[in-house]
Amino acid sequence: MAEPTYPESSYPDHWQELMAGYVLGNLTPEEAEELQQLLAAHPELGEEMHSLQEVLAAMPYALPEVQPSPAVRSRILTAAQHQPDQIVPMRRRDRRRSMALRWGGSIAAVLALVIGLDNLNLRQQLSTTQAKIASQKDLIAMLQAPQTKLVTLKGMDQLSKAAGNVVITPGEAGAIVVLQDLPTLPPGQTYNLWAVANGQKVSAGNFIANPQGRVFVKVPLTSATSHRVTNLVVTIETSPTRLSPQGPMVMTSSL
Amino acid sequence: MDFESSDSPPIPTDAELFQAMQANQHSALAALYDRYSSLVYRVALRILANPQEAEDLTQEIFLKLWRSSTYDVNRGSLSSFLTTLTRSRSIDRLRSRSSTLKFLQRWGNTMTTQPPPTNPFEAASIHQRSEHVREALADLPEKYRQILELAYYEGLSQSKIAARLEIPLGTVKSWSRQGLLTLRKTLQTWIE
Repeated sequence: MAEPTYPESSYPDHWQELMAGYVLGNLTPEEAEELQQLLAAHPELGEEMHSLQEVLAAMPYALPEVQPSPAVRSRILTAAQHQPDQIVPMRRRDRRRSMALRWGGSIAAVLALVIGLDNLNLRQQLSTTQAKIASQKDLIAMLQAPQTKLVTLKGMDQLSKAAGNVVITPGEAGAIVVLQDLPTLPPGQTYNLWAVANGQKVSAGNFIANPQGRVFVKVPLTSATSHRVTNLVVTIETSPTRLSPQGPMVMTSSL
Repeated sequence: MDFESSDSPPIPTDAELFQAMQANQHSALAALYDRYSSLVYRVALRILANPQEAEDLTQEIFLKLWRSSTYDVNRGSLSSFLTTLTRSRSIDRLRSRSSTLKFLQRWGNTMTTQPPPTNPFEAASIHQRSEHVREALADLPEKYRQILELAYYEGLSQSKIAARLEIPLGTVKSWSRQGLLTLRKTLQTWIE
């Protein structure tokens, strides 16, 4: 047998420091150059580098052994079973890492993230289109119901040009809002539809107008409210979760 | 001594579970979660110091593993892939937060966490690894350990560490490298 092909004596005396510096991401350009030449001449050192990466990545084992709450497990498993619809939020962020933990697949990881985002955009577009088709189907179904009412909404004051209809089937949940010539609202503001039933305003959902000023959405009016509704109004709200309207009334109707 | 019990099935390796997961087996995802959720969560909690955010990130990491995994069995251990990914995502989240949030406040939040029970079967091996690494870090000279932790968990640059500890930049570099090499030596028999 020949001598082992690990001629440590032929390595520069600080070869380990170079590799540690690489794994920690703190090599100077000169050191990086030196390491590159060293690895080219002694590819067997790649294994040692790999070990150093593994050691650094094992540091968190020393942290206190805490567990996420059991709910996380079921959330993950549920989401995994509904994969096309539920999307993990991903952030498009390109920050330079101050410490280059160069796990082998990092470029692949970035690529996958970009591809993932493209898919995310596609999925969002698709789901918007699907929502639109669903609303149209709902609208057709509602128009076929004999008791369905078409409520005309007219703009007031600042929205004098705005007009449209709300399609409601008394006793059924959901209403379709079809409006036009609504100004695009600044970020943070939404239009809110309120159903007036028994003298009380009940939120029937919020919406925004598209860049052409049109609205075509299904809002979650409850069946109890749809049965008793006597009037509909639209306000502009900054906090769509409020229980009663706070913002200005911009459209109104009467049944 | 014989640890192999004839009536209990062999514990699947990470690679086997990963392969099964890629074949769309939800049980493999569940098994990997049981094995590594504590590790992922503790990294996220250490860096984010907010149990809610750490849980959200844990979910994100495992769903990423399930859906679009970039993990390659030939490139490194699953464990190091997960800690590395969790670390970088946590630091990204941390940087996106308001800079007024103080580190000490974050530590204060951590104390409110109550560790839920562990899955004893899977936790055993993770627990053993944890013991090894904990001992190895405890053996490390304090100055080395401190720098490694500042770099790893705070994501601080070498120059920021130098400024915080009031030591020369060259010293930070050399201590961090020595620290990693010492750790490597201590864990030699365990991490190849």
